[in-house]
Amino acid sequence: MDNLFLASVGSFALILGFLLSAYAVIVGIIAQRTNNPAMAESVKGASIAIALTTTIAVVIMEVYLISGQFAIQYVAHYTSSDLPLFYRFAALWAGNEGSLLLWAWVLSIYSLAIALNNVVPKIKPIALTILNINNLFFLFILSFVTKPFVILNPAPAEGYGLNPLLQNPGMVIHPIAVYLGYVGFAVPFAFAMAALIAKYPGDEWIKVTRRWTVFAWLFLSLGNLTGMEWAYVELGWGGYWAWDPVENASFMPWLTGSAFLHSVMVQERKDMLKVWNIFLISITYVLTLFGTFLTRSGVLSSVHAFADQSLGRYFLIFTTLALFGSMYLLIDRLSFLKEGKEFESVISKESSFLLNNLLLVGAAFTTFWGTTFPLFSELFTGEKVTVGAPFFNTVNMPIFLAFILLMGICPLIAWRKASISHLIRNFALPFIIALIVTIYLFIIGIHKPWAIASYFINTFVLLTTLWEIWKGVKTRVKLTGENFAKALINLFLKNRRRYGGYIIHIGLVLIAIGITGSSLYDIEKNITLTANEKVTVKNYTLVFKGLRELQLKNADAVVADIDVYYGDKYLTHLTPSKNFYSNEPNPTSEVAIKGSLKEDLYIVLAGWENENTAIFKIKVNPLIAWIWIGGYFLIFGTLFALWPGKGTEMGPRVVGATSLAKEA
Amino acid sequence: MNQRAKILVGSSIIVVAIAFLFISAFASSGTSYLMQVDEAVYKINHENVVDKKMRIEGRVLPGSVSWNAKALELKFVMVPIKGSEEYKLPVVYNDVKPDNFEHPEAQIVVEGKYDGKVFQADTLLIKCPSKYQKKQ
Repeated sequence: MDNLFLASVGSFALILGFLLSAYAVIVGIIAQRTNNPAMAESVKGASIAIALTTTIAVVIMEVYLISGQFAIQYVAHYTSSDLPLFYRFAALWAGNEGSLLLWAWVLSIYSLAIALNNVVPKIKPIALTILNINNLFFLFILSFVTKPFVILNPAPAEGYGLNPLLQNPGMVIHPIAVYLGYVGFAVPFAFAMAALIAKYPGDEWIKVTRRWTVFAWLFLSLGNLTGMEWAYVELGWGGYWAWDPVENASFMPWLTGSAFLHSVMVQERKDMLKVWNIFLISITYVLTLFGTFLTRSGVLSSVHAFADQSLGRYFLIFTTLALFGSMYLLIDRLSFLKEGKEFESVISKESSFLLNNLLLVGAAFTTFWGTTFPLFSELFTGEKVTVGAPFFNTVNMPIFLAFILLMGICPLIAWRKASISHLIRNFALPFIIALIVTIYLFIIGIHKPWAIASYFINTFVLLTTLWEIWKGVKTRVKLTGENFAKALINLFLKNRRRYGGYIIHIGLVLIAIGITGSSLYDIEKNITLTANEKVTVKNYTLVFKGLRELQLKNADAVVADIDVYYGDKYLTHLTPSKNFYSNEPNPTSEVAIKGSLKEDLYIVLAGWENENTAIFKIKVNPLIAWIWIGGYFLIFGTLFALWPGKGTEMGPRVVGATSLAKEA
Repeated sequence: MNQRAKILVGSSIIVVAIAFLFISAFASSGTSYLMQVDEAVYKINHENVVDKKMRIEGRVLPGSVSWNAKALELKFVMVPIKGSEEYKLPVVYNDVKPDNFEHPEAQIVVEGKYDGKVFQADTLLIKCPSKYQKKQ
């Protein structure tokens, strides 16, 4: 069993990493207290070593996964010999042990980056120690609780294979994106805590960690979006979000992370909201730990069932420690965190950012309570009360609409103090156009109040954002004489942070429009059809031609042939199917979708009685494509804002003559 | 009133508004008691739960399933996941029979109301195969 020697190496590497983390934490604390540079250097060395151990463990696991070494339990559970190479590689994050290993690896690499980078030297060592405490926790779990390199004796001849639900490109990206998001927030958190511990007055830690925050936010956004897309395409219930605990787990830190992203801008410019920002990043970080706890502990009944009680207990303890530790520090250092400036006016950019924060945190708080209510109610009343989607929608939808409205208004409000007349001048045209559009929509049949409100607000915000961009280009043209196109490109490139932000806002508006259409005006019909029977849903006529069997590479499929007509015209041929995999007791539903910008026709083969009688679930989802389009805008906008180089400094305070004069 | 006070008042109004929304949503919409089948059967026999929204977790009694595809009517009996099969809950679900409904290890959650004779399920969920822990 020569090649199983590597498994021992892997396990040993993880234990070594654990010991090194313990060393790094202890020595780091001593080095800080005694001001010992030699010890500090030693911690740097330890960070390199820790990253090496996790890398070795990951590489060994990948070697086993790709070569299909079924003697390793994890490999046997999540791969099989007929699994394509790409999915073997991705199987690293298909299961509990592997995904924790991935997490630990990413964390150690991030820690290494901090160790090697000489930023904010006064507090960086403390931040590094905090990161190493995280490393310690995860390596402890990997060394003693959920071990990746468990060996099966005798070795099975074949593996169970990857759950076919996970054999989907989106599902490959989703977990790793979420982890990169979660782990990314550890860095700004570590620096925030370090600044508190050292009573460090400066704000550099925010500037330094800003990239990390946006980076983490980018991946968390990507994780949420791919999760939604996967649910829609693979799970076959016709929707993309159910306020399920696991979904909420990755949504809450996204909300508070978004709040943090905005309010640090206030701290950067105006030296305000310091306490609030520390609170926000702590909550965000704690929510990422809590999210992992929810997902892996099985403590909440969810459509996703994971169950590992002991692991859950460790995560809960660590999460609680992080929460109480950060809150204690914050309260203890409260007097030290003196605010810089005061709010000068109720209507100002600062106050609108504060409002933005209140809304986002309000939504996060609501989601948190709705998600954990079954736990608390059982604790206090003995009965497990669950909260359904209607609760979340009732509270969060108005909050999100208000938030989007704010997104449109805020860029037009000046820092410090805005005049009402100035605002009215800027809002008048978008308001009127949005009103006209809404009236038109009402005339053509959109009557639901929430839909009206949503379409109005989203149109308004879209217009104000475009208007803001237009104003910037016009001013630039006037001052530089460039033609419109050139001015537009240069304006964007030289103010990446601001205009990347606008692209992101536009993306959010598109997503909101997609969500409004598909959740308020979706149509569902479930029906049993015999061959050559047809059914009409909205303007689509579906003619069921019959069932047939199809042999796929690693599955047997039962396929329904459906001719689709739009009105009288033949549109397309759809083949919803059910796939039976050799290793899986449960078939998967392969949904058939005919999508357009206007709506999706969505068909699931739900079951059958014989080869001529089948049961279908048919849905029409209006505007749903705009969710994915908006997602692309959001991702692109973030990458654009993040891209290194000139043009990513803080945007000018006023778009106009002053800023361009500064450039020239 | 200086600016700071105004900000404070404004923020408080927002917070109160959200709290109000929160509480009213709680009172009016989807809270339901999650219980196991044995608790549910006990409640049905000893309390008046007719038309009370309930959320019940259990498994399907093998051999009790009756499925009418044309009418989209699924009838079955739920029993506790762990516990005596003498606690039986008859359920009617008027929608598509889910994948793997009759899988011996399937755990299901129904949400709906007891109408005096049977439990009318509005939603029927089957616990997904675990992503992180492989079922043997």
